[in-house]
Amino acid sequence: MEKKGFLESLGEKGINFFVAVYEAAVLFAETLKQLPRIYFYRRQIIEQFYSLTVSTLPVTSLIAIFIGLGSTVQGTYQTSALTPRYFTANVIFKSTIIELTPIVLSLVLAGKIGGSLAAEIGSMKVSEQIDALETLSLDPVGFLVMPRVLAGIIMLPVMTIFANFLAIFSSFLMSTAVLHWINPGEYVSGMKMGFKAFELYFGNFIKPSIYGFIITFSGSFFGLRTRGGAKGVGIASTTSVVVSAVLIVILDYFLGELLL
Amino acid sequence: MIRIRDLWKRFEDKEVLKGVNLSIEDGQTTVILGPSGQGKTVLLKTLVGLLKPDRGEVLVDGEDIVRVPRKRLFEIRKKFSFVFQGGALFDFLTVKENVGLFLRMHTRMKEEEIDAKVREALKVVGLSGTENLYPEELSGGMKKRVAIARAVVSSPKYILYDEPTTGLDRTNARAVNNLINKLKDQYGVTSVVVTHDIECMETVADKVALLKEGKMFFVGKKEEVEEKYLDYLYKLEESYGI
Repeated sequence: MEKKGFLESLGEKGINFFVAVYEAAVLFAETLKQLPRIYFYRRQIIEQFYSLTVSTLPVTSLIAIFIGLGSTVQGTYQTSALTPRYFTANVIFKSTIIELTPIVLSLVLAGKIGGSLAAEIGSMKVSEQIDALETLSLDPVGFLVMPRVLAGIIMLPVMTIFANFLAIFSSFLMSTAVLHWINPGEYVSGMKMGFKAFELYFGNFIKPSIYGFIITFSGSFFGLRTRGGAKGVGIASTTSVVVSAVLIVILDYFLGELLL
Repeated sequence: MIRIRDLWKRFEDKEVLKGVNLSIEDGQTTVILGPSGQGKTVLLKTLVGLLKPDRGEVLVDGEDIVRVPRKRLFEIRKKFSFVFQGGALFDFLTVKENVGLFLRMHTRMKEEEIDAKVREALKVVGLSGTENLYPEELSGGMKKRVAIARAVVSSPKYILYDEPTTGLDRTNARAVNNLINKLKDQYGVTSVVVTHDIECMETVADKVALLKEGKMFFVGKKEEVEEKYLDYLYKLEESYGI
């Protein structure tokens, strides 16, 4: 086979990128078109809600507890002895809720859910199960993609609320009962200081629902684009994780910049 | 009745189908025979709209499925069942759920009625008692028979088989061939079988179409093929080391 030149290879990559963006837009439109069929696909939706929650609960709990512990250790280490203690508690509380939990949890779940979702749909594609769905008069987007995306958008905020609760609770216990650097009353005053309801909404609903969409949509998209055999499934899975992780980190900056 | 008229299909720079014409009569089993890579599976997939031809018509009971809207295509597909080469069973569902999926999604049947239909379909293919197994727990022959049970349960007018005996030992292959005949005789199903297996053709065919390099070079009765193209059949067998 003739070796491609640099410009030719670059041009081909550029075209492939725009084709992928176009295909993603088409899949997004098709997913939206399936929304009125929520009742028809109710079993699949309930299954996805259940499996997303159950399969991620242990890892979510573990991460949340250590986010709380880590942010406490960092917070107390980085603030000086002259900083009011309730102020440090305030920084730990806000940074955990607004930033740390949503992004760390989403990045971990991008690996766990997004990777397995791309592999699952990808292996269905290469073993003709997607074609089999079509021949059973079932739309693969309605049967596979829409329930997963919906579960991601709705359940990631639920998991984030749970994780935030665990993180703050572990931080509270670490601060007041283990390290004894602050008393419970002061910690709670710190949490209340400059409290804005929007911050809770931003960290627990807006960010996770967007990240949940990115993870599940990217997993479904790369799964459906799988070509070839086991190697293709592996590529789909890895690409899905990398793309969703990069998008999450980039969007995290823009969301903070725009909404805070 | 299915009528295929002047069907063309190209993948990148390879022309796979080059003006295929074929009529599939109701209540008969039509076997499309030919070596690998000649476009047999592509032809079969265009019959249910899984692949869109570049040119030509596929008339299913008078309706051109190439040009109907997607919603209508899904309605027309309810007349069909497709038995894939590897079975294409959903690996996250049990045998019972696989076989009953069409009924669960497209009918208002109660769970007990669906279970009864599934049991009946599994009995037809000789796999009673496998309801709660997952596809990974089945042998290749069993997977194919479950796929046939999934095809039968919706009482389709047409069943399309993609290499139904490939990868099976002689005993399992014969069992599948007998099943194809049984479904035609008992339920009046119209079947289209794509294969390179001469024994399968001899057992199930009413009509044979020989496909070579994307073109039909013979369409006629089984006896005529055996009479006129015996050399071709021998070569086909030899090419697969049979």
